[in-house]
Amino acid sequence: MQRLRLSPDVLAGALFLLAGVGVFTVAGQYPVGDAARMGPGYFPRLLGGLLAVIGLAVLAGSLRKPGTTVDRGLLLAWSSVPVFWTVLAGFGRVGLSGIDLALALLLAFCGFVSRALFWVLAGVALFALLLDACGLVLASLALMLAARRAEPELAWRGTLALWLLLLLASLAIFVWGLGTPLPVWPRFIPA
Amino acid sequence: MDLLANLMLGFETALTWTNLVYCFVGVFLGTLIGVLPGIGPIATMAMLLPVTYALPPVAALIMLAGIYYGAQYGGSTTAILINLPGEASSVVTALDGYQMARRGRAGAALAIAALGSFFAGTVATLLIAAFAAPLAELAFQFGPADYFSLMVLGLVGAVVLASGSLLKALAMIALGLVLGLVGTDVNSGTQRFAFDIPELGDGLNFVVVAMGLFGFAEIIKNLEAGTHRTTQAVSIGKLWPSRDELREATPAVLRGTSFGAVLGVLPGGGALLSAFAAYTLEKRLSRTPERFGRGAVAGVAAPESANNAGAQTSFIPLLTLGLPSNAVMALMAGAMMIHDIQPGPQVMTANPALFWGLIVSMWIGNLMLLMLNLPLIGLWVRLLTVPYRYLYPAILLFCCIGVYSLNNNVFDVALAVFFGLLGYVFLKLGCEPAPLLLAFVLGPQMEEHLRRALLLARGSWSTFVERPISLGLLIAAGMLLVLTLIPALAKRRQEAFIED
Repeated sequence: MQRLRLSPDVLAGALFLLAGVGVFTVAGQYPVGDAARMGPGYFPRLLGGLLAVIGLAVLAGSLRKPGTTVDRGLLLAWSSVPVFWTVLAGFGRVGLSGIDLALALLLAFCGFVSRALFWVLAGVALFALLLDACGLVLASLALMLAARRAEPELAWRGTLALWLLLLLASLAIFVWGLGTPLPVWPRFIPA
Repeated sequence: MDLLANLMLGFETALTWTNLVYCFVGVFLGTLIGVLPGIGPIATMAMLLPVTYALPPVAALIMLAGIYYGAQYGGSTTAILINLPGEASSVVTALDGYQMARRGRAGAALAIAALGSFFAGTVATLLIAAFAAPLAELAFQFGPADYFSLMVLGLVGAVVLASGSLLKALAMIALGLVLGLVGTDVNSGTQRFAFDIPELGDGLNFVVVAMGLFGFAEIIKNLEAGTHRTTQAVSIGKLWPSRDELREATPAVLRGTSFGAVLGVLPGGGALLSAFAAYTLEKRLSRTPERFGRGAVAGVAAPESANNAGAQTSFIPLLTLGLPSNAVMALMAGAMMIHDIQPGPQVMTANPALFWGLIVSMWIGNLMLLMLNLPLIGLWVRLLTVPYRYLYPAILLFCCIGVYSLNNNVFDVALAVFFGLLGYVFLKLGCEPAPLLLAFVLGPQMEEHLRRALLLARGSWSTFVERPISLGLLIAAGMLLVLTLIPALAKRRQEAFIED
């Protein structure tokens, strides 16, 4: 992975600064009030401002120790954080659920970062995506198939055996034992 | 005798069959995850939090507490036997414990660790019982301004605990406070940072944040690091320590216990800090400091009793002041809120059976651990040979189901993916997530207390320095901050928290 002359502190500082400014701006839309009668915007604005100032301080501090590098993947992972929130927030505004799209974008970013990061998160995202429609049986299989890619050693047969074992265990603990209302079978198969 | 009557009530609660079973389940699971590296008490407790919905509140809390102190025991077993600390708090135990094991004294080291932990657990239980009532009494005199300052102190303590940059830890706290505010504002009904997404209206769930930041990020980190394990266990040898070893261990256990008990109460304290501090103290006091790192008995006895004492006394601020002092206690607070119990001084008066039952269960749990740990060592060691590639898919699946069952909604699972990424980024940028989690829990309360304090003072910020309790707490917070800034100490702090 190509390395950039950029210290992790620059990224951390920028992330905090960005978050701080974002929080401050969004909180400005809520009634702020005054100290004696704090509105819902008062405390968040305070925190947003604080966050931005600390972010600036971290940035300033990072200038004093040059020479450290980060790899490009980390930069990508970093930049997907604000993208995720923007998409999620933007779609919420227009009355659509943006979480699927935001997730897809996030995973696209992660694909460039590291194998473990991508496949672990992809497995969980697939689980979230499939559970309602396809039930625990298929969602857990998808999770397993994605997760095994994070570490190449696990063979096919091992994956399937592990899936069966874990499926039975989770059915026993959650569905039969605790009565968690988990969808078990795909919706297209009548129970 | 009030204390006696209270303890009796505690025994009555803790000794019911249900509670005994859940106490056992807790310490067993705790030992299990303590033995397994790569999954810590925070992720496990977060995973099991949804499960506890179905349980009565006492049983739920007893089980979760058992996981925490059980993990301390489990972590030390592997630290001693194969030089692999299962938990951060047993890193120091590995230094001397493994050396003892290599000299054929593994059994003695394990026995000393277990007995020391049990002693520390007993003392800490008594301490909680003795000090909880007066402290809660004190807490009733706290006004909103005092509570706000108390939380400031707690959060500053979390900064001291965090490794790495002070500024970054402060930023993480501010970020955590903001994340805690997501959702409907209780006073005005305004939806804050919810972006018209109905699922965000109730706020972010604590478990989602914890699971992403600690659970998923941890798995990814382990996978990236690759797991090269040597599982060459040494033979355990004779279990009973020799008379010389006992003589060396006894004062170390006493010192470790008292030191750990004090450090556990402090905001930001807990098992980790206590173990490190006790080891350093013991080395300093020893007439033969050169033996440390080469199998000194005191080097096992002191940190092991300290981490257990610290793990237990860190319940004191949560149960009496309602202030979680570290991330694990934040989880306990979350568990209490799930069951509609607001952590704080009123728990003791409103729910005496729960309060005393929990405390007594800790002692019973420690007794169980003592009996469970020594005979089962063989089983724990064999567990270590299970490859990580079988473990992490299991952890992932249970995490997913756990998060889903919070609200029976896949939105939470999707959100956990995001927090997993965030946790990964934080990890790479050297930002410790523990302060964020603590601040997340405290966020709404902190705003409420600030609001009330300023309302009472008609908008005058000076109320925080005019009230003596508040002023004292703020001064303490300031001193903690200054302490971390002193260069010599800052260096030591970094050394102490370097991860394995």
